[in-house]
Amino acid sequence: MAMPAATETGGSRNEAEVILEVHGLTKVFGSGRAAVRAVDGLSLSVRRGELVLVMGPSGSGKTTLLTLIGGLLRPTSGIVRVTGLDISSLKERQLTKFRRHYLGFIFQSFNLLESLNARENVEAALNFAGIGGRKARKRATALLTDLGMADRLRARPHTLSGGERQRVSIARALANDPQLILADEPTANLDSRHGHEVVELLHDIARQQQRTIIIVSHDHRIRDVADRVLWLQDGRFEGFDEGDTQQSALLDTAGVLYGASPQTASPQAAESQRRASQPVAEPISAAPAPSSAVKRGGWLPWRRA
Amino acid sequence: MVPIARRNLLADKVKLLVAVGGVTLAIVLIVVVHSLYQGVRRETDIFIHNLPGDIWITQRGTTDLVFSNSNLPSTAASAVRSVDEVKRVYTLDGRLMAFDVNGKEVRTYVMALEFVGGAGEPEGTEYVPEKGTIILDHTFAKQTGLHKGDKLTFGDKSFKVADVRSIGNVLVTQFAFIRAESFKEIFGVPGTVNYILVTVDDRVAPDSLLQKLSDTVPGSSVYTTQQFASRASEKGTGDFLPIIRVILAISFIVGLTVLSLVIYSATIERAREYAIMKVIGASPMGLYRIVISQSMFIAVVGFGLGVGLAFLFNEVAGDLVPQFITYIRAQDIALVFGITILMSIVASFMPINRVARVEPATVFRA
Repeated sequence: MAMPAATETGGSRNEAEVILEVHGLTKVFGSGRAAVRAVDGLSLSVRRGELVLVMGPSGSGKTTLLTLIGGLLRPTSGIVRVTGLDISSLKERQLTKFRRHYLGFIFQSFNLLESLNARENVEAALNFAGIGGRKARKRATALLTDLGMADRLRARPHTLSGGERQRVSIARALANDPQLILADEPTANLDSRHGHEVVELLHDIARQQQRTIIIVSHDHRIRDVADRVLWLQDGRFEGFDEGDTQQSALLDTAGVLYGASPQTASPQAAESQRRASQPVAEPISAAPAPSSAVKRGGWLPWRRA
Repeated sequence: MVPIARRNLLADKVKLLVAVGGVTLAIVLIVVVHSLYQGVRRETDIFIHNLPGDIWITQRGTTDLVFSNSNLPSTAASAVRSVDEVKRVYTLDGRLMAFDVNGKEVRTYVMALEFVGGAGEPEGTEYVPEKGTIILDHTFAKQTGLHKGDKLTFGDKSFKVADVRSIGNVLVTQFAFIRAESFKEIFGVPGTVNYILVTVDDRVAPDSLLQKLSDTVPGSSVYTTQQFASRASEKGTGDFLPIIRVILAISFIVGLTVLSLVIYSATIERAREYAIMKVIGASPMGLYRIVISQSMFIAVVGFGLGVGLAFLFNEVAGDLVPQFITYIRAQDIALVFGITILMSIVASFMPINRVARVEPATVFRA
């Protein structure tokens, strides 16, 4: 499978910077009268280094959107492009390779392999990508060390705190140097302190490593570090917020967020959809993207400068 | 590479123990039953090869020593001796006989070897005891508690045990030797012998003489010693073979079932982890390898323990039950190893099918 690099996706600089493009994405579960449109014609465009937060009530389609972007579910219609590659057209085997090399996943319940220790959990992801032996071990150790887990390398998941487990999960997500990280409720199972640490960590990864991160969450604390906040309801974007710099009136309107009628929400939703499909004007610094966290040496991502 | 399969197994030691135990039990059964079968075959083979002679002449249709009869005219021995290529001729008689030992009836297959004539020193003299004495197989002696110098009675005749040694033990009976005169006195049918054993001239290949000897003794079957030993071994164990096959099949099924259930339940328990691995980029083949590795790890450990325990079991059982003769050959161990690997592969089918159906999207459920 030939995976095009991000720089090959277009001629202009702005085009090349786009990591994720979603057009008219729809996912319908079931059929006939029982059919549920979990995701309903979503369009979205996200640039390199952008941190996008998708919020919305339970059942709004957030996780379905994430699984569609991750190639874990096939869309009913629409297109998902990651670094210019249309993943909707990939076969299962190609999707596996795609996930291995282009995506990193962070989960609410950490989803570590319980029989492996912290380092082995990260090493396993590298093994799946064909990196084995000493090289994999060295990289896993470096990633975990960078995340402040140097003294917990041999600890099994059940002996780690929630925050530590999420750091291992983040290290695993970074293992194969992905361009896009998908995080599903990464702070939901963490207390306030650890949740804050993880939020800071993800922010720094986006900023310093120029990785694109999409977070699905109910956690309002994440709004502070997000470049954009997209509000999803009934499978549609119902509002947006460009991070902490532009407070949208929609965000402050509880009616729109959690109970607007389709009639009243419709014009706003159309605008939200239009705004969602355009990347923010200047989302990131112009610093070149490093290939991996390991190459950064003493980078300590959970301590913000 | 991270040994995920091994770590998964070691994470649940009770389950690992149950699986290894099941496979071990199956392997012990397979090895013991098979070694018993081989033991009987080998004893028959060795017994026939230890007797003198390159060629066996039997009554036509005779298949072995214990399960069929052979009666030839005694004059046939002289006729055979007159054949140019024949070097020495012996007769062999035998039948199952019940003796009285301290008021208890014991059975053994009594034989008598007699040198008819020919060039050079006769062989097999160790099977020809003094008159009024008997040589017993050590298994029979152990079973009956007889020792050298003890007496066995048959009607008004009694035999003193001249020696106890390894002669031949074919599970259903053991061989003993008395002198030919004694045999004729007790059981002899005038004018008949049971078998004629022939040693051929050194320059002659035994199988080149078969037809000539067959023509010399009408109504006979003539075999090389190797041929007759093979026939007798096969006949001696052939009746048990279907039973042995059933036991082997049951053992295989027991091992397979335990292994399958444990690997399947371990796979179901870790279904979410398989989904996680799919999400983070494990290929289907990579996941199948984990399942098969688990199955093989259990199977190989079970095989090692099973073979070790089978040797131990044979040793102990042979001491407790003297007729329990076993023989484990290297090729049989290799065969059992092949069966074990087959067991582990078959046991992986269902779990692999389960892994294939794991939906990676399920990992997003908290």
